[in-house]
Amino acid sequence: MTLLSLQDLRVTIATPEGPATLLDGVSFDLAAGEQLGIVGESGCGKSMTALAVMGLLPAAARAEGHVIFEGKNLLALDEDALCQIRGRRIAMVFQEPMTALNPVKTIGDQVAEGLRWHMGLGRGEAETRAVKLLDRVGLPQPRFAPGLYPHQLSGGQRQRVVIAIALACDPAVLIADEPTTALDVTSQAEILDLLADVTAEARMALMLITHDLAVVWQNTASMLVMYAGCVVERGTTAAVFERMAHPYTRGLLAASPHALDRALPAGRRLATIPGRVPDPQHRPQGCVFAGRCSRAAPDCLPGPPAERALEDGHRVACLHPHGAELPA
Amino acid sequence: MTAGETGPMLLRVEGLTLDYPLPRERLLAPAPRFRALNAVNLHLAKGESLAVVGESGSGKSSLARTVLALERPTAGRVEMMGQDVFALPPAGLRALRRHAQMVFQDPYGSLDPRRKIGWTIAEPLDALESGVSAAERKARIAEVLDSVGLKPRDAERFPHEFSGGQRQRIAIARALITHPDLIVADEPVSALDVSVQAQVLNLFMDLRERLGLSYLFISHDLAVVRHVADRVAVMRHGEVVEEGGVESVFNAPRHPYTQALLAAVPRVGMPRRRNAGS
Ligand SMILES: Nc1ncnc2c1ncn2[C@@H]1O[C@H](COP(=O)(O)OP(=O)(O)OP(=O)(O)O)[C@@H](O)[C@H]1O
Ligand SMILES: Nc1ncnc2c1ncn2[C@@H]1O[C@H](COP(=O)(O)OP(=O)(O)OP(=O)(O)O)[C@@H](O)[C@H]1O
Ligand code: SF4
Ligand SMILES: [Mg+2]
Ligand SMILES: [Mg+2]
Repeated sequence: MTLLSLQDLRVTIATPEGPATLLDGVSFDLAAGEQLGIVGESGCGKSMTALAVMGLLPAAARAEGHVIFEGKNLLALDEDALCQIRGRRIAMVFQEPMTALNPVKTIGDQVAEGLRWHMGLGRGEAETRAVKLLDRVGLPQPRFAPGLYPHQLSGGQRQRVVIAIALACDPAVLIADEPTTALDVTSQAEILDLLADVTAEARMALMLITHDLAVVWQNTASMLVMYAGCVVERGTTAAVFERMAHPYTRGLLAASPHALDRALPAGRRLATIPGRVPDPQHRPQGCVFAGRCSRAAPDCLPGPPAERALEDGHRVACLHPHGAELPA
Repeated sequence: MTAGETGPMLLRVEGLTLDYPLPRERLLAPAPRFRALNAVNLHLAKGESLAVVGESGSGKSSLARTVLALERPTAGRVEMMGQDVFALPPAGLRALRRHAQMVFQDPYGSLDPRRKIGWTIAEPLDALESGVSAAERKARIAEVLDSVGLKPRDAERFPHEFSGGQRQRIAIARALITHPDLIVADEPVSALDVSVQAQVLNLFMDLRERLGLSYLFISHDLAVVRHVADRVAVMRHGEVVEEGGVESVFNAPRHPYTQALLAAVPRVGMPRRRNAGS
């Protein structure tokens, strides 16, 4: 059953150089208990998508389209109504733990805050639950006393606090924006296991935003590849990896340091995707990837390629997708 | 290339121990302390690149800060170019700082948004070297911008006009301006997406070949380390549990924690997790 549905979401923002389109018609559905991965380079709109769902877009941004959650269009709700949902029904693990945490409040108070505000728990009860949550995310007592301040924790430990805050009120949808980027692989595995457990127990839907394709491969059932504000490839995770139809998806995999299981020979360099994501103000008319694409042909230039179906549920926005042969 | 432990060292860390005070449990009781570094020994020869990897909370950032004398250890020594950094008077420490610069993890937070990047890049120069003429200052800014693949006129732009990867290049340019011998980089690529990560790692390799820099390269990501380091030290709970040449640690890890770390690297194509998929 669809819990959250984004329909043709467009986000524009006024900039000194004129209006910029940050999201250009993003659509997808998320069902209860589903684990959806979102990948793409820096600046392609992953966090904007998340912030639009949370009702936390920058003040200068305008959103069009629909974000339907439990039958309501979140884009049409006022701030009071959103406050009832945010942190309670839809929670988010923010990308930068340093900015998500309040430096002058203890970690215990920050985890307890949502419990008091949304669940109406008293001070003592909220603190007891907060301590349990800290333990759950791998910050056990007495080492990680609720009286600690964020600056007294390592980068990875702060990220765990942010996760505890997001899980506090048992949300129906959990948006995790790069939740493990700051963590080593063993801590990453712990956190991903934890997210898998809580989402399975409570049939929580998970939107997992990451730039690590291997994390998407191992932890999600379906995935979106985003580029310059658009979804360029989508499908079950297995189907997308099997074919990697969009040239951009293949470029992302080739550039991953994990893609090599050996050190580079001296003098060799890692593969990169040439060029960079075009600024929202300077997007080309045709396929947004054309300037960096080795398969680009004249027909890619007049207009953006429409999404087309490859096989059941696997879709790609490219005129010359790779076939089923394996990536070189 | 591993230099013998007795030769001249750029950096030598001996018995480095660092305790942090924790919140008091009772008002009058002494504050409990947490040992973040426990008798760490490391050495780094000129031109060599040493990576420090390890679990979150194992003390990597604490080590980086203490090596650059941004934190005072509870015990132990840090010797840079033969000088004990904690025994130096402030002027001596300043002189030494020119030879060792830091690149911080966060490419978004480490640049002042209100300053043109030329100002930010020249900051270590302005703070640590005196008598630099305006013309030389300008030339040095242009030189380091060029080293990291940016243009001299980029000095006139503000941080928000650059992408994450470019900002990390700016942070590296800033670290290069005093012509250091050693760069301590704390997770310099972990906030970057894969394609930008590859660009910045390639830049680290280029600079090392061209300028003969040494790196103390902190990362939680073994795959990253493999491409930039000669040796790797694996930390856990404030201690170095294993150290050796990168390939030997990767191919024949001895400590169970290193083995666990290597086994936990997620890879495309390896079995999916128990809860994923349907
Ligand atoms: N306040 C803002 N004003 C103008 N443009 C903005 C603002 N915030 C973000 N953008 C732009 O919106 C685009 C999408 O940004 P977003 O943060 O969603 O990227 P992302 O995919 O999350 O990238 P990353 O992997 O670096 O986190 C980028 O081009 C960014 O520069
Ligand atoms: N100011 C402080 N006060 C008390 N404890 C601290 C302080 N700074 C760090 N710690 C603790 O010291 C330990 C080492 O922290 P450090 O930041 O060096 O870890 P790290 O290896 O860099 O971890 P990460 O990969 O998560 O960044 C952690 O357990 C942390 O909680
Ligand atoms: S539509 Fe053309 S330019 Fe765009 S990704 Fe496909 S082949 Fe490349
Ligand atoms: Mg983001
Ligand atoms: Mg750290």
